[in-house]
Amino acid sequence: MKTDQDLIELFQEAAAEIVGRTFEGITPNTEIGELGIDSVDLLEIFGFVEDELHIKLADADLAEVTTLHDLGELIRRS
Amino acid sequence: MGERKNFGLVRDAKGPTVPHAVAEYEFREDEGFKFVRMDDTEAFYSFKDLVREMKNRAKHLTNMGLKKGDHVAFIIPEPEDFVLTFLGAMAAGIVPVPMYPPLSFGKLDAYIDASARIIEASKSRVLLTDNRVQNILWSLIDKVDCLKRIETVDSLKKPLDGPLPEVVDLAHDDLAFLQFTSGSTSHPKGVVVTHGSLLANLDGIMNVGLKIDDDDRAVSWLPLYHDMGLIGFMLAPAWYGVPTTYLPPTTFVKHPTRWMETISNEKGTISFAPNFAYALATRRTKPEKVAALDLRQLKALGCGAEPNHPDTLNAFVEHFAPAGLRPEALLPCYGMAEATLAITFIDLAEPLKVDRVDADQYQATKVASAATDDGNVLEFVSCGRPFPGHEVLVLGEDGQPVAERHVGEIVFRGPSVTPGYYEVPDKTAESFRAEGLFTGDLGYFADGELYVTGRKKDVIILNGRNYDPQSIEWLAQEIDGIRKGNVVAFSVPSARTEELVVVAEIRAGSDVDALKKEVARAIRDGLGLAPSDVALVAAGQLPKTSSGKLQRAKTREQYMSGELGKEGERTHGAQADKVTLAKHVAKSAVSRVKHNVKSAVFSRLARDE
Repeated sequence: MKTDQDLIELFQEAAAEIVGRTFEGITPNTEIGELGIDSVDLLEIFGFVEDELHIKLADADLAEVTTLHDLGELIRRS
Repeated sequence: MGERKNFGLVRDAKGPTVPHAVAEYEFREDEGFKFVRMDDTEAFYSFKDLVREMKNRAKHLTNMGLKKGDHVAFIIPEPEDFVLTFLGAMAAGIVPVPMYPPLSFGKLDAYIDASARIIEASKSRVLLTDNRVQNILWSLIDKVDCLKRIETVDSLKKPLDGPLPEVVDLAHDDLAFLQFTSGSTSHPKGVVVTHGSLLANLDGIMNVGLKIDDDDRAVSWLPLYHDMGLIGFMLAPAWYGVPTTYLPPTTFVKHPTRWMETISNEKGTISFAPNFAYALATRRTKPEKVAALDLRQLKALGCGAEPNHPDTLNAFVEHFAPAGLRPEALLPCYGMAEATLAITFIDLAEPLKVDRVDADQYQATKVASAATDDGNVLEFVSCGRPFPGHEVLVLGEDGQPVAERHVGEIVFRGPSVTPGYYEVPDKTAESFRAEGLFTGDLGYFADGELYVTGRKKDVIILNGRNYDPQSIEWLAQEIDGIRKGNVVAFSVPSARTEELVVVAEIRAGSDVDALKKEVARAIRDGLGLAPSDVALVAAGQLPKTSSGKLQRAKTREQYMSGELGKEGERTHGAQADKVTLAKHVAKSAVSRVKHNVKSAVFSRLARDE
């Protein structure tokens, strides 16, 4: 997980699997809350990302994530 | 099945109370509660350790100046801290008020407001939380008059010198805890759970419903601030001394495979969850994973707290059959916080029982008669029978019991019925009447078993949580262009669980697409919910009573039959509306049972167009 672009691709893969949509055209500045994904699906997507990258994201840290870039930063720190 | 000796200790409706029962397990050093923490480390407490922790925390709480009868709010995300502190409070006679922790990605402002309303309604003097969460909760002190202190659970952990206190005397009409049924309402109601109602319900669940024996082991990821997790998987096993393993709820949602994996590893015999969790576990556990699991020992997989969808439960049984899951392990049940927890259970030895009824006749006459070969079919899952000493009635509009297979309101009576809502006399009088607890749910009896068919009250249940429609409608009607007082929110069945739909009247000349987005955004920001559809209609389209009151059930009916959506489509002509309409027509109550994976995929694709 080097760049935000890698994350976007992974996020799209997870979203396709979990909510059946790929969210074409999302950017690092896209606010995750704007994507219209409910909180359970969103947690599932983060679980998918954790599995793929073999990392563990703390729930308390996730609460502070707004954009995909923020998520990328969190992953790079994890 | 094994035997129930429980070391000769008796547990029934007479007692002992939960903290007294726990104190009797001091001699058990080998078995106890295991907590998987949010960071995936584990902690094990034998029953002996639990007794010591309970009493130590009780002493800390007493040292803080808290005494029997004081109300204390709990916002404690880590199951380990929650359970130990809850038992400690009970041992001191302190009344816990369990509350949900801040949601990830939810808007904090709305969370703080909802929490403030619950703390105020519960008259809690102290808020107990943890180190991480406390940072965002401090504004509550200024917002809520009765709240004097915020303390972290870390301050309760230090072992204290000197003798630990005995559990205080507790009477059956003493408050055990306050259970708030919904955090999303503007006037939250806290159900008063007494030790007496709790014991009556625990007796039914453990001795009759689950027939607990010495080999039983429980596994749970259920939230502990919600009645099914709190009573079913913390208070019940603590009372009965059943070894239990806890996973954090978010761990299950992120990694649904972990639920069955933990049951397999821990040789779990009992676990419960709402319908949506069975869909999630089925969808996310790959067949090769299933093959590696051993679920043969599972005797009770309870499903409740949400309408049970036969397709979801059958798909789950089929998916996990290669792991040795027995079909009769699935245990649909029915209950609500106002009844302490459980109202009916199906018999432990029986598999899922699905009643197929004639849909057209059901809708026309509210009679659930057996389906014919060629007609439309509705399927309902049997929720079984009430426990001994309890009674379920199905009453018609005239307040009289209706005949077998006739639909009416479900009324529950018996010692598990709680005294009502804490200091909300009008709402208490509405539901808790001389005849029993009016559940607001509709159902019918067939061969002595209860089938729950829907809700009379306009409660929306999404992912196991209750929302009242008003709280959603209020968010939408604040938007410029939406006609105030002309918004209706309801849920519709989807392939997995229930989905939220909002129908609103708009002012002429409004930008429909922009308004739709704004409505969805307001609901997301306010409650963290994503509506599956926002249907905007012209003024005067929503059905109303002669006195001008909105008719939610009728709106939902018209929406699902396409009547209301069609009008909207003609008015606005958007292609998206047509697709949405097609999706929801496909999802009408009649076709609900015909759902298959294909239609679910279709509706998801349709949503994106």
